[in-house]
Amino acid sequence: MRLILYIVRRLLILIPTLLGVTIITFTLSHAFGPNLAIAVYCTPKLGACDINNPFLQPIVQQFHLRDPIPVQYVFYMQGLLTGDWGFTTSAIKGGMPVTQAISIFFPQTVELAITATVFATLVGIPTGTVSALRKDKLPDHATRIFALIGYSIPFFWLALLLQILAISLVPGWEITGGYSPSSISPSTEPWAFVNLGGTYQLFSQPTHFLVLDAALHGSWAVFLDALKHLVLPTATLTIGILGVVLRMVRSGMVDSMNQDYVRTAWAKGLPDWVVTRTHIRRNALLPAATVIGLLFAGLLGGVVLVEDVFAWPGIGYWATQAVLQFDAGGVMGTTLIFAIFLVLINLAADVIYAYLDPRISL
Amino acid sequence: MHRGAKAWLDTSGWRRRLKEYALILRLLMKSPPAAVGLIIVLIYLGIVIYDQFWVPNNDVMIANFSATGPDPPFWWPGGKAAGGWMGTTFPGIDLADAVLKAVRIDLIYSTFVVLTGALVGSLIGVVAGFRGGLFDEALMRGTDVTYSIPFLVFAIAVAFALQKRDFLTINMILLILWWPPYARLVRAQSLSVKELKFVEAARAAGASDARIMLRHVLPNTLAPVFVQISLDLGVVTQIFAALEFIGFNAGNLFLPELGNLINIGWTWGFESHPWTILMPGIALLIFTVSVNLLGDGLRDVLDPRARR
Amino acid sequence: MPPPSKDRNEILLAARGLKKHFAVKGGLLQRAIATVHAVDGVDLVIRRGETVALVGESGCGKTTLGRLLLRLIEPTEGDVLFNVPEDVFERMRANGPAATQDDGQTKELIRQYSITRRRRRSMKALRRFMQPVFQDPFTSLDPRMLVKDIVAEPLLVSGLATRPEAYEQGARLLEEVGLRPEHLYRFPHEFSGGQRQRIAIARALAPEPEFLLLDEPTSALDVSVQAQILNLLKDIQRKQNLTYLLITHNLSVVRHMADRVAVMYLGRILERKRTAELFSNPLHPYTKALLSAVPVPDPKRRRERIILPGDVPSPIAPPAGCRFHTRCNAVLPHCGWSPRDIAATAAHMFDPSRNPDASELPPLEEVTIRGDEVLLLRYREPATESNRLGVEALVKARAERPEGIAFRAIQYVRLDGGRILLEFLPAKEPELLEIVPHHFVACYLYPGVTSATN
Ligand SMILES: Nc1ncnc2c1ncn2[C@@H]1O[C@H](COP(=O)(O)OP(=O)(O)OP(=O)(O)O)[C@@H](O)[C@H]1O
Ligand code: SF4
Ligand SMILES: [Mg+2]
Repeated sequence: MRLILYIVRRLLILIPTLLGVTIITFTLSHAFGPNLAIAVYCTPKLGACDINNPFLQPIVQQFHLRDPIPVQYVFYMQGLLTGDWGFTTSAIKGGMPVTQAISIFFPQTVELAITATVFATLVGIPTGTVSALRKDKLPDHATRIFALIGYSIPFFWLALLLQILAISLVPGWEITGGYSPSSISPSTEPWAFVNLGGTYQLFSQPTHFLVLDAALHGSWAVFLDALKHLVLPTATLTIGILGVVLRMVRSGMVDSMNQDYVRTAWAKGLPDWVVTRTHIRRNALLPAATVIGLLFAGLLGGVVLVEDVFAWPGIGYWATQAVLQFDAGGVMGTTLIFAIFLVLINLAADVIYAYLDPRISL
Repeated sequence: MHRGAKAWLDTSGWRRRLKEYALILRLLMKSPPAAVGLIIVLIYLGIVIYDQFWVPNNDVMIANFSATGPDPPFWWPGGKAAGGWMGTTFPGIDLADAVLKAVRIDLIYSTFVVLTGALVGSLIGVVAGFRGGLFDEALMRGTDVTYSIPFLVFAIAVAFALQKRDFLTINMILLILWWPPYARLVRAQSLSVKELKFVEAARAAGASDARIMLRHVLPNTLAPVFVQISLDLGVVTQIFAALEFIGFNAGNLFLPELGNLINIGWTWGFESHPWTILMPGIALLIFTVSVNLLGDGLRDVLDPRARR
Repeated sequence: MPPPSKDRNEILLAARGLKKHFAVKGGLLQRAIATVHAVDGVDLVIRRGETVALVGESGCGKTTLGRLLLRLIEPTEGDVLFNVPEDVFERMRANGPAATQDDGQTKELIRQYSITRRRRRSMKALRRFMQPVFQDPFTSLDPRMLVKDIVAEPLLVSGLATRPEAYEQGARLLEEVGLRPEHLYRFPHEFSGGQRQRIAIARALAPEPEFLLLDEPTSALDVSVQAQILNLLKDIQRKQNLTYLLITHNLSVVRHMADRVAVMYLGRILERKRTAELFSNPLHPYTKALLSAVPVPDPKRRRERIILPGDVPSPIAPPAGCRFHTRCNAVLPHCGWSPRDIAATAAHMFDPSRNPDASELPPLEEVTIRGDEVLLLRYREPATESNRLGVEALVKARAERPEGIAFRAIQYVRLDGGRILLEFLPAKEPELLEIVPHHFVACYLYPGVTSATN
């Protein structure tokens, strides 16, 4: 019950933050002149994105683009709340509304983010534990060097490096962008092909996660193909955030190993694994929960680069395309959706922390 | 009695302060990783100085359009002497030359960005922490907002609004966006430092708020700032490279910049010429690793409690 | 505004009705949810050249009072007067202690001598005359500054000296406090606690002040060093004719150092007197209890040790009336008993299910406190006159018993729309009055002490 109250309270605190984010996207898109503002909404079919273009007058009126800035903001917000996030020209050939593009691209990004987080946690927690327990022994040194390189290495360069490795080590591996339809016939449901800046990308129903969908439909060829495409992007992100996870887990464990109650537990003669599991790790993971938010901020930054290198059809790839093609709607939409995603992740991290830590009065 | 005092008055306090810094350096060198980090950073610094003063045309890569193609370094399997010790990239650019020039540009600009951010952020942070009130509240909420947008995405959006995608724009964006972490760091520190009694003693002595903030509170918040500066040098260099890499090289395709070099290798088929991305990437990686080592070492020496 | 300290008037520093309330913030929006009455109406006089000791339990507001006197924090109410001639002060005092009664003329005088009403800028000129020495020498010196800069700072910021002069002065000061000039070029962390405290004293002495606030200057130090520091302070006082306010827990230090003592409890001063007389003849029950804990040199005059019952009440809600009444062993009915003191007992006593003597009353539903004077009892059915008589009888019976002192403060038992209302004597705080010449006590035990009006 108190947890629910706490969540509600944290949600209330989110409101000003999200308002702030919309003020930033609004300022970036509207403060530099009306032509930039109108570019968020205009579709290429209507002609030049100019405020004097007669075909665009309904948009000018709907969003009050000739009115003072504060008035414009009100209608910008109204648009956001009613699902009118503008029109993107870069996401897909011919363009589409931003919200629709988000529904297409977002699942891919989530897919990468989640798989990378899961792998990093699965590998990071046991390895970090071993490293702490064998402090200053060989496994510890190895882990620390790996972690150091992991959080120092630039995401985009790591992505290229892994490609080189894959090409030279795995026979027949070639550089491919995104989900390529090469292995399946495009006619069957539930797949959908979308022309993405000239190349076709495969999207699927109902979960939007191609690997899952393929398994659900029993299309093993698609499943394998999708898996193959997932390996390198996931590996890049995983290695990148694994460094942070390892550091956190290790230093948290080392700190709590030095606590009196842990020494007592050892002195009592409890078996090692009991002490580790019940006394040390639980406390060590608390600070780790706080950095989940930070981790995700880094992860989402990395997602942009990784998606770019692998032409992975997610929000990050779209964001880069948008800025390269001067697509106002795309830039603002991706910024906003990244911010909302990150803010919600931070909320989740806080809630987990509050739930784990008995000392926090909710 | 006064004569004895006079003799001491002739020295300014600097000799004593230098001794203090030398002590920090000695402590730092006691930890092998930190020592390695420091030495590599100094080597990079040497490269910067050498490039700055002894290399002509240090802000442009020398292309050779008549070259046959990228040559591997001479020690590469099948390498030729023509490749030099880092190989060449497209179009006929000698990587050894370009990477060294790129190191200079990346380091100078990232240092500039980080130091400006640290200076501006620290000043804002100390005022917010010391004065509190509405300014503080606004700062915290404002930085909350900047923290909720992934940095790279934020930079993309600002670049879009500015309608430019060149190296100078990247610098401008970073200058605008890089102070909030420092403001929050110094603010949090100031909150505890301002409760210490020497602040009250200074007030009793008649010191103004400005003096208290600048002479007493700020200097006592700087240890974690130095650590952060060291770590951020790596981060900002990476951001420069990342932005150039994803296409913010529009202004100057021949700008010697590590991300730009990697981008060139990537666009022209790195899978058959791996050295074109390996060389600049390794230069970048070694630098970030060494500033991270140095930063961790500094944290242990300057700010032992904050070890994470 | 008269130039401060030009003429050296008798009363160097005085507090008049001084209050400092801190807001306790909490909740989602960090709003003020309670008030700490840290200093709650203090009158204090410090004469030129004397040492006044301020004693009291931890948390009673001594440090806060000291900070107010130097105007390191702004008072919520009241004034700090600086450098007042005796006759002017008498005139102010003739008007009574409370600011609310001041006539126009007094107000004008107060404005003239008050440092708490000065503008911040003109306050700066006064700072040099009063300097603090704090308890903890480990946080009172800026760790990033060389000793020379620490000691020179008061001179430099108040423009009393140029930089070379200030450093030269610093070297002289270090020798005065028992350090060497070459210590100027060291950092604070290179010194021991006692040496650091000497540096803090040197800094305080730098602008040639007239008043030093010594806030537990030795309590963080080793016992062996404490005496050295105290003797140093005494020497300096004699040489420079300084005035001290010495805050301490240690009554032996008081006896060694102070000319007069002020005893503080929960934000107020309960007794003020010359040191020797205070030790030989304490009047206030709280002072008696405090002193009983000190070993007496003369074994024939061994005192009974008085242990105070209970804890110090919270300064968030100090007790009504005399704020010591919850722990006093000599309480009177009008010491300030209020419904708060008996609410818990009442819930038991007037409930027929818990107290057989109350069996005639209907079941007790609710006990409500209204203000400092009224307690309301609500029964399951509307109370009748006979219920009222029953309650009255219970109150009377309880009041007869020795521990029933609080019930003696119940003035009336009345019916109030079906509820029974117990009304207490008005709770008023005893005023700090001069019982014997130069001996001020705030306690109803002594004739002439009436209730203060604020
Ligand atoms: N800045 C502040 N904000 C809120 N409450 C405060 C503040 N300063 C002091 N208090 C409260 O005021 C009361 C008096 O504190 P003060 O430090 O003056 O006591 P003290 O007599 O000096 O105690 P000690 O002997 O322990 O030093 C305490 O309850 C304290 O918690
Ligand atoms: S007024 Fe005197 S007798 Fe009454 S409670 Fe206070 S100290 Fe005790
Ligand atoms: Mg105190």
